[in-house]
Amino acid sequence: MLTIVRYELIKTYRKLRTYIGFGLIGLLVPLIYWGMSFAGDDMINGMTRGLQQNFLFVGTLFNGWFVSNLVLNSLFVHVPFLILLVAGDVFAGEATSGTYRMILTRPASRNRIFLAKTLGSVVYVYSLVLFLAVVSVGLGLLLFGHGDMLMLQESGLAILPADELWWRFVLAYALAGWAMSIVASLGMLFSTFVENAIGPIVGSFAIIILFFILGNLPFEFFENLRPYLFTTYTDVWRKAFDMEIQAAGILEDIAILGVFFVLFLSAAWTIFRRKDILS
Amino acid sequence: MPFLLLTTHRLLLPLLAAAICISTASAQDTASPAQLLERVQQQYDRVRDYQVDISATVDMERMQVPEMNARLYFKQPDKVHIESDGFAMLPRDAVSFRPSMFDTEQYDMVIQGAETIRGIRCTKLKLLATSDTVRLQRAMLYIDTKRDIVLRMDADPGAGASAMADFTYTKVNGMYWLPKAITLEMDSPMSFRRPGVKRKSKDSAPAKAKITLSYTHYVVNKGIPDSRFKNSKTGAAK
Repeated sequence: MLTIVRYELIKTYRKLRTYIGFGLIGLLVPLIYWGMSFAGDDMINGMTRGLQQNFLFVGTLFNGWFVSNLVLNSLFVHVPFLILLVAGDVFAGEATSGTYRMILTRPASRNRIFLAKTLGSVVYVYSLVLFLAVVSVGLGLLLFGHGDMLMLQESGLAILPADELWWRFVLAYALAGWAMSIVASLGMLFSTFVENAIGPIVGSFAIIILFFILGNLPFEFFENLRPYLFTTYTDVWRKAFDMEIQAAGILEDIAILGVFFVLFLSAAWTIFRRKDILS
Repeated sequence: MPFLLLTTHRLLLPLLAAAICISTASAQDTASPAQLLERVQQQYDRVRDYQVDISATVDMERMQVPEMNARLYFKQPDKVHIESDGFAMLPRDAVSFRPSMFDTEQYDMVIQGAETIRGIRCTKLKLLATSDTVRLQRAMLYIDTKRDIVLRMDADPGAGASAMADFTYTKVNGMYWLPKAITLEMDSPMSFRRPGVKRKSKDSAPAKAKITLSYTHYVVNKGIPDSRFKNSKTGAAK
């Protein structure tokens, strides 16, 4: 089994498209930080203008943690697309390159191949999220130093103490990895339908955008629909930055995302097992 | 005859003491607003410099902040420097309160009766800014005339907001009254409306914020070099 997983990983990391996500993050994050080095203080002042009339601010809130969180918030809208570039190609890519029939005639069962592809996709997801973490946090702390972190939350402003931020970021990235794994499983599901990777990538991303929009429409019908959309739970990583961590809420979101993960993969597995390979 | 003299003294002494007390109290009560503020200022002027550790808790709507710690340095006449290992936000007018904040040329003053605060009778001194460029436009100081210290300050820190600071004191080195704790209640800056936005209902008053400052580890009149205040962003708090 490990050998199949290893081959899947080799296949994934030998493809050029795998590195589009890494390249984009590696390019975008330094660019964002370069821009922030000019306007970062103005951003903090804008967020705290009302407070600064009455309060003396000692120390700075513009630091590596603040910019890393900002990057995490802004880039995470686009990360699903980067995930789908690879996940959408998992099965369809085999069909495109004509290797589907070859891998399925090997002694390894379809179940094992499916499991290896799933593990390979999850490893890719976590490697991309880890890369985002290292680049954004590492570079952020290197360029802007550390300190307490100012956050704009739904409930207002929050300042998180510096000594808690390491584990909060680790938790946030771990949760983000899990949420993106569900996106990958959706991409894999779409990938089993067709023989070209473009369809699964665009189709899955369209579903994500549709669910995001539906989940945010302020009408009662759509509000009732919200619990049944997986995109409602993909921002679970934000809960790592709540002033008081609600462990029960996080575990619930992890479990619900797990249900979607199993659901998408079960459907993908069913199609993959019954698929008549003609190419 | 000596007995009579002794008896007379015994009667006269308490009367004399009572007369002195009444005359002192009367002098306190009849002090002009400027004299009253001057006496409070003299009390504060006895402290040439000090450093103190401050811990602050902020309870404010739409704002979550952990307990913050800072060290404040003060040197006469108005040098203030605040340091913190992390980030700290401290109420501008309360954290380094001094009567010299109220320049007698910038404020009209009037005594507006008395009020008892925590069992201590205080004289109420009202200050009104003479120019609209002064940040604190209106303030009411509740002065304990026995110790010449301010026990409460009501103020308008601007933008139509109001704030009330309650001071409790500790006697440092057995001779200097300095704040031990300041409790500040103010209209929450996070609940201010944007210009042009109407309040939802007439009853929905702005939420209150409560800030508590605790002062510990005073070091008074030991000398603080001017270099400590160089490049201080907190600067002279006026």
